[in-house]
Amino acid sequence: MHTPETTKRHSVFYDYQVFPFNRPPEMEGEGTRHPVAIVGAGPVGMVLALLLAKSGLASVIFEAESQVSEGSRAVAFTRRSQEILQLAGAIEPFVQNGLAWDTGRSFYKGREIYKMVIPHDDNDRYKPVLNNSQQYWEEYLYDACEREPLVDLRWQTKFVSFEERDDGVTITLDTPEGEYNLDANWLVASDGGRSAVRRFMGLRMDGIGFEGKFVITDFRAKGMNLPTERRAFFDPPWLMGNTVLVHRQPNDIWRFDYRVPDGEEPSHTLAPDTIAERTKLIMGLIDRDVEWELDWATIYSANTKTLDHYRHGRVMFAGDAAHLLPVFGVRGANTGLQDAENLAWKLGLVEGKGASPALLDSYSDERVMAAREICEEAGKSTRLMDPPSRGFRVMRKVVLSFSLSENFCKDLLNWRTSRPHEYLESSVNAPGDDNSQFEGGYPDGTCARNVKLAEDRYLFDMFGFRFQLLVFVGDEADSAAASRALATMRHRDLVNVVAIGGSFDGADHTVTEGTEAVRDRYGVAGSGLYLLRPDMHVAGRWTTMDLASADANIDRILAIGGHK
Amino acid sequence: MTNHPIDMSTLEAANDLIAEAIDAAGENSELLLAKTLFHLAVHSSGVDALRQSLDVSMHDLE
Repeated sequence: MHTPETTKRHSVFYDYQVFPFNRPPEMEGEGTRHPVAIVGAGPVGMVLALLLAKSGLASVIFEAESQVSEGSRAVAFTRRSQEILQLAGAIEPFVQNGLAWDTGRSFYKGREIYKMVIPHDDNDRYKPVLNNSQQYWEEYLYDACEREPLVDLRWQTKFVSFEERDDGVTITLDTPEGEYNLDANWLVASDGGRSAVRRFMGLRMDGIGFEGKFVITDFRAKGMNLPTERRAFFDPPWLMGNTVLVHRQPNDIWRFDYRVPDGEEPSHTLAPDTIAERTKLIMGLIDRDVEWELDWATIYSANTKTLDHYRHGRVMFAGDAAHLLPVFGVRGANTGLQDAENLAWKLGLVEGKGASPALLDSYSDERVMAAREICEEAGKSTRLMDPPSRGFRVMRKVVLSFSLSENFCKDLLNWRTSRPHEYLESSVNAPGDDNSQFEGGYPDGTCARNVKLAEDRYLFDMFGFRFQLLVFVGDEADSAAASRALATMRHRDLVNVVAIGGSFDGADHTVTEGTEAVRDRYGVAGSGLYLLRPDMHVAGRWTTMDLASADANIDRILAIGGHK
Repeated sequence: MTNHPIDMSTLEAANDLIAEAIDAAGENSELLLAKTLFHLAVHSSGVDALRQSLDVSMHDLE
């Protein structure tokens, strides 16, 4: 019998709610078959469920715990994640309550040696990074799930096992009132780094586990009076060879994150006296001496690991269940949300629109490749934070030392914050389109960018979680051609049509302001088309009003790898 | 010294090559350093560039 902790978790700033176990229909012998079952109600699982709902697909989420995240965990959401949350219909409280930032500063021997400013364009609705504690992220997503009738979130329900058949899975779940079975067409494991589904299947991740241990301490401190920035202090005198990171969260919550001295026992690292002593020393680094109250402390290690495949028959993996990435560069949860977005539109087409299940292999191909790229990049960042050998320890010192007086190697201190992967070789990209004929804009496989149309009005505001067909109208003949083509478009119901530079019958939206800015950003001076996937990556682009080719590419995407 | 932007991949490649060479040389890394600088000065950069590099690198050695 699964009996999760139902005593409220301790926090000096967050009022945990204990969610009850509700007997599901399956325990009354009334269960139905579910299109998608999701294990894990973290940010990835809940965003997946919300996006599936936008595709008209119902899902059921199982969460073993009775409360949201213990501790602040993932504190930084990128602009791309905010755009995904906008698509999921959940962005408002994130922006209202988060702290936006774009600057990272690095210090060595008391001097600022590097300043990183993440680019922000006026065309972007959202700031580069938004900080808040994961408890709040999950609360906002839970609220959105509660409002969504197609999402059924079941607390205190622990995954035990599953059996796979040709047409679905039977999942065994344990609850405070005993076990029950549930049938689903698809099972998604988004149950974190210690994934129970992954362990049940005996799957192992490949990659590097770095030796160093890091500690996070979150505490409340009023009167810090520091801007919202990420600060890194290299080699403080009391922690030579190591690094201290300082992050700000709302509600006067601060995070100190530092590498644990080699050989130190975790019990010593987390002892109140040790934390108090080191917090005082870090306060000295930022020239503050204020009262503070500890909220949460934990030890973690940096990994760059991924499963080889994220699809195993009827089971898919997403987020930390699929890959483990270092926190440096805010890559963990942000990468997971991109997994969720990619998987959601493909599951939506397979389950709801009769696409071939083989389309889900492209989810695995694209996201495994993204994870490998991130592992490669993040591995380089991590080598600076946790040098794996004497040679890299020496070079870390060389880079820091030169950075006091020279500029040439300072870029090695840049973490290269999480960004969308480019699916340049994806099977989803339209073969034989006019991609190579464009000068500028967004090539096939890359992620399209937003455009400011007017005050508080942006191009992405017109998008839903569907394919987007951006129709650039050059003249009246284009309008007539677009209108005629839309009338016979086979997959019209899957497409949100946006007219730019002119209007025509049948368009869902017409851009009337900021037209030149859209043309400029997408590299279309006259006539042209962009077909964007629901996750906003470019699926194809044409220099003429060739809506039939865009339609044919959707047809091809639905049939990738064969037929259902 | 130089302020012009240097390609990130060049920086990373140089960083990693030197780190791996130090690891390979083990206790003999000081000898490796001298040999490498001597070789670079004679075959690539010249003595003036070596002198300039040594001046810049002499700072912050403690």
